Amino acid sequence: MTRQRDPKQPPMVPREYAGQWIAWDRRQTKIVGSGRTFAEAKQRAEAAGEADPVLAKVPKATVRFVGGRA
Amino acid sequence: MKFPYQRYEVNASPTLPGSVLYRPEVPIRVIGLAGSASFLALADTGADETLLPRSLGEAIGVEFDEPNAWAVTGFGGQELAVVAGEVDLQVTSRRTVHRWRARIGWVSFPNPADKQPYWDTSGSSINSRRSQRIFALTRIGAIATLVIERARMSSSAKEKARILTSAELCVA
Repeated sequence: MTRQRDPKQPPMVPREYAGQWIAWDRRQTKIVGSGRTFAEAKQRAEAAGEADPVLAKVPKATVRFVGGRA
Repeated sequence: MKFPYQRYEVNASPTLPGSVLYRPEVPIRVIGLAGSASFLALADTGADETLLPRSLGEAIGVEFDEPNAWAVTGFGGQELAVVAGEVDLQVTSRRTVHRWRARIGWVSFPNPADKQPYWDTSGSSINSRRSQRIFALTRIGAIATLVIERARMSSSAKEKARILTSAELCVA
């Protein structure tokens, strides 16, 4: 295995986006759109000129995710 | 292939006094018959299934296997309906690209805002070492290993910061 350099750390997602979908630019250097659904976030990213955004669901600020089975 | 942890600012809690969540999320491109989309998918070693929102599958032209629906559940027991469908998944890191065909589950969510992509890594073996955990991903076409590095008490501050913010996906 070839050792690679560490990838660049994307910026921290601010609390104002908690619970929303966000759209990063292709290189994940900045947030270019957001919305209640991924479709909204994607549309806003495209309107901002980002044709190929990377979408992500931001955790709610007051709720922790643990997964697992019932 | 190495991926940084994603960082999210949240409210502090009694068990997480800091206000930053670190999540092992990997950018994955999902390619259907009519389009594609890129997501940050949570590398979930405890998941039984790889899951994506059904509405995404509809948008990129996935053909769903409707007669073979089943259900998934998480902590708390809420059941959600799932159908199967095939797509191509693609992971890219710098100049390395891995693309493979996958039959995954498509979830119908009651609340559109709750959709979250999960990348099942449950076919994994866990090899705990002093400073790292290694998860062998067996469902990505090639044998791969996701290394989530943990900080060592003896590490320098710079090294600790590097370890805390990097996850490594190694393809054998």
